[in-house]
Parts: sequence; structure tokens; C-alpha cells
Amino acid sequence: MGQIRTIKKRMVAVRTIQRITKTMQMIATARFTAALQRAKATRPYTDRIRDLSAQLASAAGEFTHPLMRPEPSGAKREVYLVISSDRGLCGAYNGNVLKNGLASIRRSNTSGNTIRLETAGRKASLFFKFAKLEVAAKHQIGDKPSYDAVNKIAADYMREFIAGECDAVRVVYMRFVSNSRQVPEVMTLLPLQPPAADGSAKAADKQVYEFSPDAATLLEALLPKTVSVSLFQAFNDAVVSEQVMRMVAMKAATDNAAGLGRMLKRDFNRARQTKITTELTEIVGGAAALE
Amino acid sequence: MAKTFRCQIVTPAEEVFDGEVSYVDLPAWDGQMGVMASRSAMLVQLGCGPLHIEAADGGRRDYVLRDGFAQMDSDRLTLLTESAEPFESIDLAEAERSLAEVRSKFSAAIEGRSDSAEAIDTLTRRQQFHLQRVAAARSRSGR
Repeated sequence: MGQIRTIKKRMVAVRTIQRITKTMQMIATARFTAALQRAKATRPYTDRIRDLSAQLASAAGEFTHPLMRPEPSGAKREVYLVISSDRGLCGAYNGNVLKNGLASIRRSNTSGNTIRLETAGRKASLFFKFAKLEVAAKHQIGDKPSYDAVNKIAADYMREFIAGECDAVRVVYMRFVSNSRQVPEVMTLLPLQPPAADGSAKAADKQVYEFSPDAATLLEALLPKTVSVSLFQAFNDAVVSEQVMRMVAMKAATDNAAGLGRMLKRDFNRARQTKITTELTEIVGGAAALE
Repeated sequence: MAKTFRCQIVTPAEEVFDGEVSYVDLPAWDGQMGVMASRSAMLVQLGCGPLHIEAADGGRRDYVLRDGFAQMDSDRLTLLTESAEPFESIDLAEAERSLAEVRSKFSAAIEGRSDSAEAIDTLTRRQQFHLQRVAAARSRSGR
């Protein structure tokens, strides 16, 4: 008797959870499409900026820029920016990013580097509080990263880097490779890797560009943009990855709830049948006793 | 009919324009610059200012650009810019308000003398940008 009621209760609970996860899955799908759309819209710009810097690098020849100052070999002062989500229930997303980030920070710590930690997203802040690591700055970027906001962060980093207040800036985030593959990554934002000169020397020979101002000055103006663009891309990737992982996690949860529901239903039916059979036997037994 | 070429305006947020055009008047870092088809390849830094496009179908489009780069390569002009606002979407009152805001910041910076030359430089550029937006909004309401 009691067993039937317990099973019934659990069935209701599972069904409620299934409804919630199903809704979350649908929301995540919608958000994912929107985020992907936004990330795609930024692609032409980022690709073009990279193309341009490669072309200019081959035109400018030997070139150095304060943003390309190589990392010192000894102890470094590093800035880590960890990008996580604000909300949970997105599978292993935050776990993977934070685990990867923490490992990288620990490694860097043991080699004697001074680290300043910054976060974007509530989950990262909470995690590092729990890990007892001091978070120097918490950025609020949200679900729809705007270029202006990201640009400001990048500008701050560049200023600090040029002033010599830090030797490297690294960004920990989830890189979006495809719908079925997202990889946690530690990207070195600064120092800037020298743009690879356009490999196809023929293409450079073919087009003789007219530069205004000259190639070196242009490159100097362009390089800060490549930094901002890389950071912007990281934020966009993070948002898209978060949504796709939430989508997958919620789908798994919904499927799991459906399976659990089926199992409970079977148990419930069996228990009910057992009860009926027991009652029948009791009645038959009682009638036989009267005869 | 003048010869046409392809023009693309790309900002970090989206592709603002992509189409055949016959003439483009763009704000280069050292002043306005006109581009027509068959121009030799060039790479120019952009400043803040108005961009006028004469589309192949005879239509006209105007934008206010904020910094960036223009690349002309085999009859294909690409404008990479931080923002490209169509004239018609600029609200005059809002533009004037932002301009006043930047102006007051600028004069405070000049009087205070505490800000670095770099900060003042940035403010000057921002002021110029907002000035261009106001001018654009005015020219539209005047038309």
C-alpha cells in the first residue's frame, strides 16, 4: 500500500523535472541559435582584421611593437581572465573551464609567477572564492557580449602591458569548435604573436598596395584591434559553447527522466497488480474458510 | 552609366552593407577621399567622419564611421570600422546630448590638467566623432 503511494509521488516528481529540463532545452536551443548567429556576424570582421595584419606584416618587413614584447624567461607577472557562465545547469561547461584554468594557474604559480586573477561570469567568481584564490576584478559581460565592452577590457590590458605592469595576459575560455565539440583553452592574449606574414609571396607581389599612412604606422594602429578582436571572439565562443552544452545537458536530462518515468511506471503497475492479486487471494481464502 | 565596383562595410557586430556601388566618399585619417571603380590597390586608415555611398542603382547611403581601415583590392572596397551608423538612425537630441557630455568631460580634463596627453587625445577623438554624428543628424533634418 505504502509502496504504491511512494512510487506515485516519485513519478509526479520525475515528470515535473522532465517538463522543466525540456523547457530549458528548448530555451537553450533558441539562445544557441541566436548566439551562433551573433558569433557568425562577427566573423567577417575578425577574419578581415587578421588578413590585413598578415598582409601588412609582409609589407612592413622587420617590425616590433610594444604589444609584441616577448615574455621574460624568469618570474613573470601574469593576468588570468577566466570566462565562465552566470548560470549553472549546463553540463560540464563551467567544470571543464574552471578545472583547466585552475590547473594552468597552479602550474604557473609553482614556477614562481605572480598571478592576478580576473573573472567574467558568476560561476568563476564563486569557484575561485571556494578555491581561496583572490579575484582582482569581476567583469560583467553577460549573454550578449558587446564589442565596446570587450574593447574596454582589452584596452585596459594593453595599457597595463605597455606600461610594463604585467608580462602576459591569458584568457581561459571554452573554444567552440563545432556543435559537438568544445574545448577548454588557455589563450595567450598578450604578448601578441607576431602576425604570420602572408605565406603566399606571390599574392603580395601581384598587388602593389598604396599605403596611407605607411605600412608600419598602419600596422601599429591595427595590432591593438587584433587583440580586441581575439578577446571578443573568446567571449563569443564562450557564450555559444555555454548554450550548446546546456542544450546537450538538458536533452540528456530529459531523456533520462523519460527512462526513469518508464521504469517507475512499470514498478507502479507491478505493485498495483500485486496488491490486487493479494486482495483476491485474501477474498478467495476468506470464502473458502467460511465453507 | 559609370563603372561599378563592390563595396562592403563590416563592423564587429555585423555586415552593414554589401553591394555594387559607383562612387564612395570615405573619411580617411587625413581627410575625405573619393573612390571610384578601377582604383589601384590601397590600404588606408580611417578617421571619424561621414561616409557617402552612391549605389549602382542610383540610391544614396550615408553613414557615420568611427575609425577603422579601408582596403581597395581588384575593384573590391572593404571598410572595416568600429561602428557605421546610418544617418537616418541618428537621433539629433541624443547626439547633441552625447556631444555635450563629451565636451564637458573634455573641458574638465583640460582645466584639471591631471589627465595624460593620451587621455586628452582620446577625448578629442571622441568629441570629433560626436560632432560628426550631430552634423549628420542635422543634415538629415535639414534635407
